[in-house]
Amino acid sequence: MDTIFLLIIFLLQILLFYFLPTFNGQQTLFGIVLKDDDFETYGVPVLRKYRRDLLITAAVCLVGLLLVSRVSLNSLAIAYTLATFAILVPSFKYLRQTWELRDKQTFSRLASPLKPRRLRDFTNLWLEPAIVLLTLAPFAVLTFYYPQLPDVVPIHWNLAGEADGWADKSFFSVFFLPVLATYLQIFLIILKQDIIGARFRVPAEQAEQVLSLKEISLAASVGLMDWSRSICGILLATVALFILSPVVSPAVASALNIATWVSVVLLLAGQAFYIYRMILASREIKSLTGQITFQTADEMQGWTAAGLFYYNPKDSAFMVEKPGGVGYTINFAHRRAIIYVGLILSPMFLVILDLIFIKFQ
Amino acid sequence: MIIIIDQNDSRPIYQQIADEIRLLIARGELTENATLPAVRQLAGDLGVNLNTVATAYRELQTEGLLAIKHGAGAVVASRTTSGKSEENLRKPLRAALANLFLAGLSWAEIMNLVVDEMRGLLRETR
Repeated sequence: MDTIFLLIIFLLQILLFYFLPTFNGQQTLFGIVLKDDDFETYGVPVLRKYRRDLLITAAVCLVGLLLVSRVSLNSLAIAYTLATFAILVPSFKYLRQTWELRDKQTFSRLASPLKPRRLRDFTNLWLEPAIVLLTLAPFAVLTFYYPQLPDVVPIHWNLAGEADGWADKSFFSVFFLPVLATYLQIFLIILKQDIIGARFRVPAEQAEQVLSLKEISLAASVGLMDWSRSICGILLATVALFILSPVVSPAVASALNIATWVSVVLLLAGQAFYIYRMILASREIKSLTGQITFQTADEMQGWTAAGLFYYNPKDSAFMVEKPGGVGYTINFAHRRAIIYVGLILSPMFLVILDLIFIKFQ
Repeated sequence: MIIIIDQNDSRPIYQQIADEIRLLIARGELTENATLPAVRQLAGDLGVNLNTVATAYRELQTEGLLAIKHGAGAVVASRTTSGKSEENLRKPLRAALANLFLAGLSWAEIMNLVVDEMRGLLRETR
């Protein structure tokens, strides 16, 4: 059952990667506009070789997964993680080639809206208290049940919601997930604020049309953030309460399990919906102007590692659009990047604490 | 309501920003008490230094068009500039007209241009 589930997920990932390069329409590869708009000359051969490599990698991985699945479920999980990384390799390889073929057109006349974009203008006043409640409620519930919990508590569950890992009862083992959820919510609200403040830029020609498309794209980004914050709140709250399964009735435990799976499906479906809206806006901008992002010559210098990273000390913008126009990346030369490095490193610190206090006690 | 910056323009960037905001105020697109974006936001959007935007805002503040409040950002204070003598207002007009004359335009052509620009400004105001 678990094996079939993992294999289906893996096949869906391959399908996604198969169509990934052309998400911005037929004239782009990996979202990047090719020079001279000559997709036939530059794009088609790269796309063909990418798909060939992807399918070979996927076939090897599938055979490997099927062989490993006969050994044990744990080794299958490890093999699956490795396979997920393996199918990324062709993307990186051909993204580098595509980056060399990109259209380097830069702009000297550019337009931006003279309208403040503040977090409070993009805030739903009903949603925020609900998210705060979802984040803090597990602390209250777990504190209430803490005395009743057995000395050994479950900390890991299989896909059916049955416990398969245990730890001694301690503050860390019980409250680890609510702490993680609080951290995640803080990270996501900072991220949302920065996405709202991300560079908003259109070409001086056709400014009004492109502006309205970029606004749709921004609204979809904000929607994606709000959706992820809400559903992650529900998801982590239900997972945090799983630890109560020894002390609550089986009906409550199975309800928690169902709620977890429903929220996983909702999370992914909602994210797909909002990303699809961003892709549609990006495609329309491409067909309207021939470009997706509009940069000055100075800004164009800031991209490194095939457009995956942006480092430009001369640029005062912190969050900037990715070259493909869908999603954002940070300017690593900006002072604010330190906050992000800290936020990304701090859960690692939390995991280390977790290992020290739970696993090796 | 957009603001356009041209890197190849001979005017400095802060001047272009101030001119664009003046134009929006004159046309009535920016009304009194309208809030302008924070310096950080506009600088990031346009890809210019924070000081460049701050200088433009300060220039408009001394003209009495903007009021800069701490925390609230810049707000349109008035739709008429204050403290400019007639001679000070004439100077840029004289320079602009001289430029048109030197470009070889005839009296009538200059008049047409002036009337055309005035119409553009007034049409938007209504």
